[in-house]
Amino acid sequence: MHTPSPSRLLRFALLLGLTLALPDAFAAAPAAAGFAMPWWGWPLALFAVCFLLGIIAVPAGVGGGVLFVPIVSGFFPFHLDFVRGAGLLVALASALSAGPSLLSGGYASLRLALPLALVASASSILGAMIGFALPTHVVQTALGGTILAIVVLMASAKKSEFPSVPAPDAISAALGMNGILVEAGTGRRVPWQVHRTPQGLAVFFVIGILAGLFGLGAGWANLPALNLLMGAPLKISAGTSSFVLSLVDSSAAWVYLNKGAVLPMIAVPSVIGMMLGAKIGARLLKVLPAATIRKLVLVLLAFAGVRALLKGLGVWN
Amino acid sequence: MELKNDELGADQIAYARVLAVVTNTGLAGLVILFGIYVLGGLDPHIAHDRLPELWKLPARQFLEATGMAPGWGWTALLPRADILTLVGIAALAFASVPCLAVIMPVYWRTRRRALFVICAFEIVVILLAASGLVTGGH
Repeated sequence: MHTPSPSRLLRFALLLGLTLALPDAFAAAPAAAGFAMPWWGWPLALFAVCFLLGIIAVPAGVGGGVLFVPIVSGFFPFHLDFVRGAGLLVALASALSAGPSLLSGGYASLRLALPLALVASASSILGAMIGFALPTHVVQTALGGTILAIVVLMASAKKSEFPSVPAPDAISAALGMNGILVEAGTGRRVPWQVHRTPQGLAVFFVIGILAGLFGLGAGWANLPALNLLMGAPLKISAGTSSFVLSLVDSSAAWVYLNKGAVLPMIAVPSVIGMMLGAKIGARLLKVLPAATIRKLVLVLLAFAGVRALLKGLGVWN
Repeated sequence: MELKNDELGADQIAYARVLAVVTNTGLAGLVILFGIYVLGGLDPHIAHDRLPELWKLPARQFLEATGMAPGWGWTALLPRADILTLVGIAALAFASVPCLAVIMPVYWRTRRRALFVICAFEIVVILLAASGLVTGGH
């Protein structure tokens, strides 16, 4: 198997770091030297950053939304309202475009997703409203804390390929939240079912609030909730987690649209950049060292989380 | 080896088909509308060179500074180029509604009334969010 050399990885990390640092440097430049980046420079830089984020998001196994909000809010001059709105649209567009193949390939379960998505989409409206009611520095500080918690969760959470579910609970049995998964290597057909649906619904209520509040997307929380709590197989959890976002982020996105927090010049380059990057990332999946990229992304997220926290606290503006 | 259609379920197949059409159309429309906006095919409501002073503002101040109303007020400014791009974004945010509407008759026919009701409620939640009634958009 081809393994990229450390120097190539270093160059990749350096390129990503420079791409992130340049907008910040230009943002500070006007005060220092009377120079301002032309208006089109920001959307272009945003597109470039999202393209790179899209490439690394796939091998790292994270959604683009969770990378987008802390990084763009930390290093671009846009107000957090617009970044959260664009973050939701990035997560929504990614989930919508992945949805058809996940559903028709049997990697997402519609009947598993629907009840959870209903609860989470209702609470995402609540989350978005809370986000607009709170002062910006409070949301920014909470975002920083949440991102750091996500880093810990992603670094420590275990996964189970086929969790043991001795019997479905009454709700999951009544709603038909079960199915068959075909193993890729062997072609073996494995029936699956879920349990602890009431607890799952409660967790998805909280996930919806966080998704609406920060515009993060919420695959980082959906996946462990489906896999470790409810006992869905890992592949079904991953696919359904992505599909659920297409419903949850739809309702939250409308709150941002209604509040005027969707600026096309920020949202559209982000969506296009992230989706093109994700396509490249999917093609490079066999070449890029997934474990190393994942570590790099966690470091990047931790840095962005600290930046958001300090920005919210007024320590690093 | 893939799952057969009866293993996936008629609901899942129908949802996937409609979602593919709606999403691909919506994304293509969004790219075209944004292209018109960036290339100056139509006049925007907000001049490009004003954007750097406006995107630093909170959403509420942004609306005041640009004379836009919250909620569906932006539709009054159609067909300005930037506002037209919002139509593409709104289409994506509505994409799930036709998919849900298509599978509701499937659930009704197969007597899965609970799933029928869940779909109906999901549509209501999205429409309520879109209406601005519960979110103070109007």
